[in-house]
Amino acid sequence: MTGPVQISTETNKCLHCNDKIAEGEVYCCQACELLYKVSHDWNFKSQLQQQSKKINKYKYLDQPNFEKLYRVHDEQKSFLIYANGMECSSCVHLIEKLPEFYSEIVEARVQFSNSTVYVSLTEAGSLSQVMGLIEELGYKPKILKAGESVIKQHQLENRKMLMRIGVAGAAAGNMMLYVIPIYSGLKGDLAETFNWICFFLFLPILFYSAVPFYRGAWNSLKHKVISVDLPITIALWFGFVVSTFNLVTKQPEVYFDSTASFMFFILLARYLLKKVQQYYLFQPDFQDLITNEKIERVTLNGTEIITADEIKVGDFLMIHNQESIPADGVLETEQCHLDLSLLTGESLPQRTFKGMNVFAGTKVFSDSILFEVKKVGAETHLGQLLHKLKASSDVKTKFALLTDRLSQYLIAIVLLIAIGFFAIYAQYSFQEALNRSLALIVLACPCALAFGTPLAQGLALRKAKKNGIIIKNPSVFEKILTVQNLFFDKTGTLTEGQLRFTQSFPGDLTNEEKQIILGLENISYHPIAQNLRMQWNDILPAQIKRAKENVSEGVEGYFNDDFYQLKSSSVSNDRGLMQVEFIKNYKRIAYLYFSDQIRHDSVETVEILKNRFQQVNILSGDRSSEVAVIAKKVNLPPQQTYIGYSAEQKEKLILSTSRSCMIGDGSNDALALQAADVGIAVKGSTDLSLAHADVYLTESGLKPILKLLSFAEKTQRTIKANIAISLIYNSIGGMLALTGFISPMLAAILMPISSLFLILSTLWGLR
Amino acid sequence: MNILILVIPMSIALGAGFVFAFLWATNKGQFDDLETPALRILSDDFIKKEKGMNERTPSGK
Repeated sequence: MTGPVQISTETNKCLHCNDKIAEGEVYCCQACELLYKVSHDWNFKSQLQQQSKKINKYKYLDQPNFEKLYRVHDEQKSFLIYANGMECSSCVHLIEKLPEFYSEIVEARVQFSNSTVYVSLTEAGSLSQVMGLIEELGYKPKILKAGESVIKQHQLENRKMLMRIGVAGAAAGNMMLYVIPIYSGLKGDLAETFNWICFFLFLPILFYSAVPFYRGAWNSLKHKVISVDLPITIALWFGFVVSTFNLVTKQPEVYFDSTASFMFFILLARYLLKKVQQYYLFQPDFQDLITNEKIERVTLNGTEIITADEIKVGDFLMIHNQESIPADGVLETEQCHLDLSLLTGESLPQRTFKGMNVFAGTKVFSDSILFEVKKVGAETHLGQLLHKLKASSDVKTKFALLTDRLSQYLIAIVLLIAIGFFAIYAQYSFQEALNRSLALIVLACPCALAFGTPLAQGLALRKAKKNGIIIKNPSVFEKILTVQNLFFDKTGTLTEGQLRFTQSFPGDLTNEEKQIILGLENISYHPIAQNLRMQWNDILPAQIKRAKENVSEGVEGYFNDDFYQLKSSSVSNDRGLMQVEFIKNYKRIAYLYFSDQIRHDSVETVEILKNRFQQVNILSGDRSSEVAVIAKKVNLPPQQTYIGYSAEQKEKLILSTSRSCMIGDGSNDALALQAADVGIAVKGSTDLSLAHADVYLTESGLKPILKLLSFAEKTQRTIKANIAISLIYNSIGGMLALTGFISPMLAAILMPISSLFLILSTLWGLR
Repeated sequence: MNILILVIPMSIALGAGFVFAFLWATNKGQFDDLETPALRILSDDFIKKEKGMNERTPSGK
């Protein structure tokens, strides 16, 4: 069979998966297109198979030192690859077809939830070709280091948690079977036997399933942090002790089954929350900031390719265009353009000359450069910044959540009432007093605190993600509502962070001129060139002959025998506004102006936020007058505009302000984002700030902040409603327990009903 | 009612058996990824079949 076969004649369905698509399209996505071609067009498949034999840019991965670094198992040639761009089931099928395209692949297994592929190869297999193939299929592959894999760690945590839940569920379920006859009136030896069976079934819960709570309770005692684990542990052990005591003394109040099902519910809710958190937080992009994992070392015997770990002080390294510098050092090349945005937030490349320092994490924006390594790893500027970030994350004060604060009072109150009741009632009947006060403690453990809150948080996190807001920590919901001072970064947050062409002088450019400009810029990686390509994407670039980029000056080339140049103007260019000269045959014919535009929704959003928060400020590293212009545009007075703050100064200011929220994007905001009670990184943020913010907006603009606020309100409302319901429920239950109205049977029925009620109220609250 | 002496240990043994089966499956990674298998089953397996039989022998097509 050759050539695609037309199966479906319907125009608005994807040829491969029958999903609905826009008019005029054939496939819904690239994966479907490739899958269709692969299964219907043998030529295409053999093309891909040929492709896999070619040498590609990942060739270096076949060197033994790289292979060793990335191997998942020692004995087997298997690797974990992150394939960016997986979206639908077709992607899974396509990638799992890898063995068909490259015969040395034994197995390719996709884990869709975190976009990773586990690939195992035969001994003769080549990793570089696997990477090349994945790229050929339209994904951005990135190989993950086995050792620091977050996936593995999450996997183990999840398995442990699941096993604990399984054991608790089985024990609780079986117990219920044995207590049914007792509740129906069974008395005597048989009832006692059944209760003893329950006792033994309870032991696995006590000594296995509930272990994480003991750890949490112990930590909360040790660090004097309030946590809901403590009352859970108390309730669990009281339930066990009371029941065992009554069992031995042949009293009817035995609560094993209720306590067991209670534990089961709590474990379930915790698991859900954890799962949601892990699911959305896995981002291998967060893990390393040096994008190129291969490094060219220049020695007397030529060049060799090494891993980042092998760099030594005194090495001469060759770094190519668009790659990151992996260590601090001194430039050996005459001059170059470096993108320092990771360190300074500066969006325009900086000219650097021979002998000047270059820093790890900066990106090269010109032809290859050579530099001598002076500092590596943790001693580099970037390494120190990372160290500082880590250190400050350790001391960041723990925020006591509403539920945690409440639980502390609740334990105190319940214990006091129980003791008081016991003291008074013991004069009448010691046994009865003990029974009733212990029953109170068991019954009064508030379910809302224990599992209503994690359930609500888990659902809210999931919902926020669907709306393009990734929240790393559910405490954000509560914290953001207490925030009083809002700080906005300027470049990239209030503004687009990109230099866009705004106007030309003396007049508008003709179409031909635009074509020539675009043609000239085509060879350049300068941000201005990239933005122009985006902005003028409907204009065809002209064919420029002998186009050349001069690092210090600009681009030049010939078109129709005329010599054209684009020069960044030597006239003073304020940051945020850039002037470029367009020169024909050494005669200037136009000035082009580029400036950083304010985001379309900034003014509106800031206006709304001003009414909500006590103070809205601009906190910018920019020194230019541009900050004041933007401040004026969003109607903020000068005393609320902080100009020219370095990363450390920003952090200091945030730390000295209570209840602060920082909204930023650049790496120079990372410290501040972490220091703030709530750090929000907007779309397009650098990796460094993403990694240290609490919230990440995946939709551009500032509008999502408003959405985040309304989510937070909704979640808090639901949590408060849950707490109110369960407090009322528990106080009524407690009263009945004290007055002796609650029989064990009633208690056993009431417990699950209250849990069910809470689940329903949570679902309704976050609908 | 004497039958209970036999039935109760049996039921507990049965329950314990399932618990251990669950623990074993969890440890083997059965529940690590609950999403991809659901997508995988939708795969058009007419090509997989010819391959699936002799997975380890490298074949051209």
